Amino acid sequence: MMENYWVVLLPFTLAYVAIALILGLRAAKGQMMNKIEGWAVASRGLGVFVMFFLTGAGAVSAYTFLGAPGWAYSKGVPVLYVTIYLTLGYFVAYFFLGRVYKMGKKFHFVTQAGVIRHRYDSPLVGSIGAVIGILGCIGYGITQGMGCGYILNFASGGRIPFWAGVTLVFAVMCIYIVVSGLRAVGWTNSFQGILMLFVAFIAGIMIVRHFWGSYGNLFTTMQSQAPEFLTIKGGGWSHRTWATGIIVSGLGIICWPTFWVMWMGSKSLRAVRRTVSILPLYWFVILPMIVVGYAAVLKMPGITPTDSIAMEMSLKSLPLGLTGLLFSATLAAAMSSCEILILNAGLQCATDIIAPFTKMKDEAVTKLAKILVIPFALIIVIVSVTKPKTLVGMLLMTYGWLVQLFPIIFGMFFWKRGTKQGAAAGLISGTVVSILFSKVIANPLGIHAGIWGLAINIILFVVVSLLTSPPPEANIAPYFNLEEYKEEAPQTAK
Amino acid sequence: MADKKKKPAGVLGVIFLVFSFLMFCWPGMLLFDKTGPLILGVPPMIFGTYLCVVVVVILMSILFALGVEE
Repeated sequence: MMENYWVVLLPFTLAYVAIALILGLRAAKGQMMNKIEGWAVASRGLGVFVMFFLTGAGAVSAYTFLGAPGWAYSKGVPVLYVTIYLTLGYFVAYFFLGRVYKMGKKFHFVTQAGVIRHRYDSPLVGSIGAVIGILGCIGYGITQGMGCGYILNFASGGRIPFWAGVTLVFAVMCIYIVVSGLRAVGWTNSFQGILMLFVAFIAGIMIVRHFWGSYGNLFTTMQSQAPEFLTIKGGGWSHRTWATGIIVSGLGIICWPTFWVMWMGSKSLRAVRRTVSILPLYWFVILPMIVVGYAAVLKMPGITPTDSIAMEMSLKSLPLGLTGLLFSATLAAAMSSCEILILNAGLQCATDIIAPFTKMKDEAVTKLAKILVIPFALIIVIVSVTKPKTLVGMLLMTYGWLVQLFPIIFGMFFWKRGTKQGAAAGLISGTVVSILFSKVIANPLGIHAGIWGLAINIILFVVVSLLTSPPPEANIAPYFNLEEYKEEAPQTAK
Repeated sequence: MADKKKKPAGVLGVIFLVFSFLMFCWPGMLLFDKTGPLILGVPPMIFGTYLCVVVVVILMSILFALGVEE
């Protein structure tokens, strides 16, 4: 491959950033962006098409083009855990999202923590939930930020430093998110999602054909020369790690505050249900890139960082134009996830941490949420530049924190006896244990840190709830008799 | 009447969900945790993973068609 490949790749990648900026800015046209429901949940007007790509592209992220081939290349089969947890996680979510949508629409909620605060009748519990959600967004945002930095650094042949790449991409995203909110995320994700699908399959097929001739030839050779890449244990994972990793991450889906914002943006209950019921089909986008990782095992050993393996393979096998599109798609994948993360971080900080303790009006909260997008983006940029861990490792740790929201979300809709004291005790202890077992004693007995946190969390949530006074029936009735609350819409809770 | 109809459908949803976890997380997935033979040209684990995707979409579509809410 020619040394000056960056002359082609960089314009492709930067052109993509420019297109995303234009699309994002145009999304605000004719919309009420000075109201929180207009900015944060697109006035609850997104249809199935936009919802599909908003959620799908938002979920798979830079992992598709960087982490997945990188893990297939370095560990083999454990890479598949992401596809499985996303699939099972959305199956779990299917049972919750109707209630999330109904509560959002009736009470004008725009965030997950807003619902938590209302259900448990406690601004403090809502704020704790928001803090955990924001921490999760920052953690996941860092993985995507690192992805952005890698891509621009690689595409420019090292001429754009890692830090400058991350800063540029986040600056652009901040502009259109502040201007157009969730509608910008919906429009850009639709574009990004289609681009990712197209490029993943074309590039995946062409790379494997170039190096191996056919998939059959690749995998038959793998069976005889590198069979350890085809089993869970061969990749260094025990079955326990596999199962608990999937459970933690799968339950974590419903805990992601970003998905609540997306679901609340749907134009109807039917639209959000239909979207989620077919959404796992989008995970096929990961498959060709996993195979690219496998294709590299015997053909290009010793590449570091492993997350760059798909880009290395494309430079050696694809026409430069298609490689440029692959780089654009990779950046699209990272940006499509980042956008909703920084939107949500700003939104939750304004509506769930600051607003409940002040008397701010709707317009002021909206303005504050927009402003707060910028410092959160800055935090992600600064931490990303330190390159804390590999993409998948960071992702697993983040899920361990976020899954601590699961007991109170379950209790919110399915256990009337859950109290604010129980929720606070479970949340705080579970999060502390999860962080401790991620950072100090990593995954004791091979069980994911999030499971340990979850065990403590559930015990305390149940015990403390049973030891404290039950919440007033009138407060929790809407969460258990949703059909009876079709027309009532108190305007107080935001 | 609506409640009576909804409950069996809700139970069906839970059965589908539990089946999916048992089949594709643990222990069912161990059936695919081997080096061969290739299934449709791909290793068993890759086949099992994407079988999971297809089966779950079918199960969710059935729930959607039946109007199962939660």
